[in-house]
Amino acid sequence: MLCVGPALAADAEHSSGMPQFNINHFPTQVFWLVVCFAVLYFLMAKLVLPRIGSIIETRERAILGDLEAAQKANDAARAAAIEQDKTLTAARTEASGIIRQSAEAAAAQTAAKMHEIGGKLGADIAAAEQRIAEQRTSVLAGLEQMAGDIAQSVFSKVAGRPADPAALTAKVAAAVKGESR
Amino acid sequence: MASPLEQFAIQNLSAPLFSIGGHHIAVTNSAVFMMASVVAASGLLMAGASKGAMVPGRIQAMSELFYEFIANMIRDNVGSAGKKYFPFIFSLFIFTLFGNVLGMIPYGFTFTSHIAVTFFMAMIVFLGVTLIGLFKHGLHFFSLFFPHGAPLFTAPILIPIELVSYLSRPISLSVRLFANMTVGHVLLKVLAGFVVALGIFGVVPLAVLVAITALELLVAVLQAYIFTILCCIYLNDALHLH
Repeated sequence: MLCVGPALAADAEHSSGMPQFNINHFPTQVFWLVVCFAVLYFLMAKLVLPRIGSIIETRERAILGDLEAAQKANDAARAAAIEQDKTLTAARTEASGIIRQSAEAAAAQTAAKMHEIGGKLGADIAAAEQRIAEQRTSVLAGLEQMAGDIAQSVFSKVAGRPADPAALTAKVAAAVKGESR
Repeated sequence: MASPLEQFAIQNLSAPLFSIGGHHIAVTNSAVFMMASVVAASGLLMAGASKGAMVPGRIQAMSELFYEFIANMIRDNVGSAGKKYFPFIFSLFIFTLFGNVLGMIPYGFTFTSHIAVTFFMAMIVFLGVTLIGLFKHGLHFFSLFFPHGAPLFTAPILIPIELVSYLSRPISLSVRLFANMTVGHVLLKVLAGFVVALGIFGVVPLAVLVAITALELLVAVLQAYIFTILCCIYLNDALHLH
């Protein structure tokens, strides 16, 4: 074994093989191992691990809290949506009811007005018909008179003497009646 | 050329500070790297834990990753009863991991490549786990050496086998880590020797050296993981028997 340092030269005398099996160095290593490990254990157990554990726990709790809040907000939103849906449906039914009512009312009003107008028109038509009938009778009466006069003058001209008024009237009346049939 | 084993030599970097039971304790290169591991690990983790941001930065994310990695390992392998031992197992993992990885620094020292260190750690785990099992289950703990449901007449064969396999746990645990780290570093050193010896053709072993260095980094992390997960499995055996 070729050695570089004087410290190593002293060590090399003890063992010719692997330095790992040099019993003389065991106590020192174990001593430092115990000291260093004890310090590390103390630092980990008292300082580092509780702190990291609490950080992770805080984060998990925050995430859980956030998720819960999100769930709650989601539920609230869903409930609000349902509520809104309900309100909308109610409004729609109400609106359609109002529309139907007003349509019915308008139809009824129209029908009433139609009826009224129909009645008035009927009366007017009846009056007009009556007037027509009156005029017709008067016209017919005039016609009879005129026919009588014409027949009188025609008879007197043809016969050279005035006709018997009673017989003439009866004949004219019969002729007009036959005409008007 | 220096021996590939030279890198494992323990060197005193100070005069002996004091002595325990006739052994002089000095600051050694191994001790320096142990301290460096402790400082680096706790520095990094404390930096990661200091801010406590809701959205972690890089260092904090890394610290939390370490934390959750070991927490999951314990939860999966030991269960809720293992929660008490979380700080110990976490420290064990971090200490081994940083020891292995810091040992990859050129001219550095890998304290986990020493059987004294790995065997002591394995022994502490072994004894601790055995004591936990004895305290928890009393004499019933010894049912660990006889698989439940096996025919009774197999006991003379099974019990010695189980006993030997149980007693060899600290040896296998420590030798696995020690041997992996030692062999890796020897291999790197030997390959590095070839690079120098072959002159211009040294680029070939140099390329291999780069690849092996990457592999050794993987091994460094993997062995820390294996060491820790085996401790978890032993702890689980002691807590829940079979």
